Amino acid sequence: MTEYFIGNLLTGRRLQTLPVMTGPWSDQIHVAETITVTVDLNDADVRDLDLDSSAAPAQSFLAVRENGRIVAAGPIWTSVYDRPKRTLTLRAAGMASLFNHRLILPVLAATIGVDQWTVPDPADPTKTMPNPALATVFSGISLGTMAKRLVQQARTWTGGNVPIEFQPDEAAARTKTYDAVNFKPVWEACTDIMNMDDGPEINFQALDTDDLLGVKWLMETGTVAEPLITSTSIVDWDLTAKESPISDFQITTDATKMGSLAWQTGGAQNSTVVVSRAYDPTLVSAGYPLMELSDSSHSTVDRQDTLDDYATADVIAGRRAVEVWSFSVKAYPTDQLGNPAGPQVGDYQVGDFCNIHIDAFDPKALTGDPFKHAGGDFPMRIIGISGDEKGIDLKIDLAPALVA
Amino acid sequence: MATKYPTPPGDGMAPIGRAFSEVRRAQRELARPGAVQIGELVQQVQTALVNLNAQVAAAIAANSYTKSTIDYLVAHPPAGSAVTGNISATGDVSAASVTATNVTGTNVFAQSLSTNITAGRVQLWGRTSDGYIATAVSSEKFKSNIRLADLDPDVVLEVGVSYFEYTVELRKRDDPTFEEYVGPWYHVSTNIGVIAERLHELGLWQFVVYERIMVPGPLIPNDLSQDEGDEYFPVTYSEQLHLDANGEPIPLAVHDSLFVYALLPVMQRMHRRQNAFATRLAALDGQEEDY
Repeated sequence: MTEYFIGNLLTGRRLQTLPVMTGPWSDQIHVAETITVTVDLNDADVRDLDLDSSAAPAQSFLAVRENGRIVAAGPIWTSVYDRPKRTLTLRAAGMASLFNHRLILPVLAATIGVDQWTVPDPADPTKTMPNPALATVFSGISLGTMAKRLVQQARTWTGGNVPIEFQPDEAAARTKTYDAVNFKPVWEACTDIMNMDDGPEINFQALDTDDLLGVKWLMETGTVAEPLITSTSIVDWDLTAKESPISDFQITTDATKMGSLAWQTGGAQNSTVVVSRAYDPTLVSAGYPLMELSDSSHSTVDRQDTLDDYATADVIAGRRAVEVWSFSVKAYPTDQLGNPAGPQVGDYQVGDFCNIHIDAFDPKALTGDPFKHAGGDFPMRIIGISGDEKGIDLKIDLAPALVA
Repeated sequence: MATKYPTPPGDGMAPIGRAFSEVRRAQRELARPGAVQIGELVQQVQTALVNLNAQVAAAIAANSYTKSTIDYLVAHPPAGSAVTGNISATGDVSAASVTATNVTGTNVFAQSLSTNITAGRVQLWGRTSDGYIATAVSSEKFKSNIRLADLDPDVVLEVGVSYFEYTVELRKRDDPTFEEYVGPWYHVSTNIGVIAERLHELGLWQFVVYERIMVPGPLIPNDLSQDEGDEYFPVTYSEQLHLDANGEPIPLAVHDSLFVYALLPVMQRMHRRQNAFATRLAALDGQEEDY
């Protein structure tokens, strides 16, 4: 059963269940979830909810629960009232989206004079440098814990204390300084961390509070040993079995981001040019033409090793085309007797690994799959799950499991 | 080494939205100057300003004058300065030496008169209308209607010579309210001369300088459009005698240098009388004497 409900974002307390006309939601790896619901104001029960105030954008959150598990939850950002149709459409995004609206600034930034954001450079008094007192400096912790500290710092501001819980700190020989003058959004920095060569995945997982009267978010981060956020269970789906719960199977392959030679440029913060280069011979050795990748989006990075991480990550990702397998699956598959058969919604989530079985193609019986005609077991990872208010079918996106 | 998994493209407009997000992020990254950049920009601007001052100073030194230099030169034009047009000044003009074709002013002083002029000299004529000083020409070629001046020697002989002090000079010594008051130690010179009014009363107008006034010419609008509301000003003036309430001219000064011509008839008459006396004495003595 699919349930939608709204609550207060700052406290996480649940306010009321939301009967919806439509309610597509989507949870994708590395980005905030999205939820879009439309409610019917002709319904007296809906009118009684006083959504004009109880679902105020930015002040309220919208959550969707499937099979007892919250699959998406986050701030409502927009609402559209359609008077002719007497409908209200709410659009929300996961908790990560809130941190697009929070900057990497210590609390001191709220009170220090605005003329003190730069100070004379002790090494060269004719120049100025970012005020160290306003810098957010990390050392001796892992990348995942840095992301955690960024969010924790944002929560120390008045009004910033959204209900988020964290994992324990993890030590690592890492250092990083975020200068206040860059005004970098917290989630942008988290995305940068994820994009680094050994960057951990970061996710905000909505959970019920212990009293079941509200929602809290667990900020999950990968570790040095296991940068991926995943569970130990592996889901099996059989594409070619009779009565398979899978339908609308597609494979999309996009080679536009392939490349063997990756370039990264940065150093804008110090008015210098820092260039990083990474080369992987895999594709060229396999007979592909040389393709290059360039990225200047990390222009403020001035550390060579940091830029090298991005270049290495690019060239690793560029080894293969982006291949996405997508299909629809029954949320609650059953056998002929109506008993649960196969993975039920809630048994798996984005980030989990799965196995897709495809029988070898039989041209006479036309069984198996003509594209993946050799068939076999394909280890995949779930990179996206989306559903709707009906709660009958889910759309699953998979990517081939990568070998570390 | 960790591996990367792609974010699925999503449905509908999601891929486009994500692409726009990336563009927005890149744009924000580019538009976000680092503090060092800001500092260096400030430094560059400051350096440019410093250099600008130096460059401007150098340019001025090479091609122009500083304001103080200009002010000084305006106040003290260097030797050899030559003005091709007219020179006018609302204040006083002073010079150690002036050699000019025309010098025009309300007051023209020669504060230190030279005493060593020994070369040829001319008679000066000061024009009443504008104080123009020039050689008083007396050649026949400049004159018309030349006729004998009929001056009565008896009238001339009635002219009295007086000692007097100028009132202004007395006020410098005696009147503390006078703006040019100097003090009781101020020396007042005693002058000698004739009084203009007495000459006028004796009918010796030829030797009297009468007051003159400038009479405005026709009124002309302040612009040629002659619109309603225009102000009208005279642009020409002419000099006329200043007459008193009785229509009489008002004596102002005496042509001292011309008064010698009044003495000539007196002397001529005396000479004739002396000759007549000599002739009569010779007749009485029976001999002719050469007086």
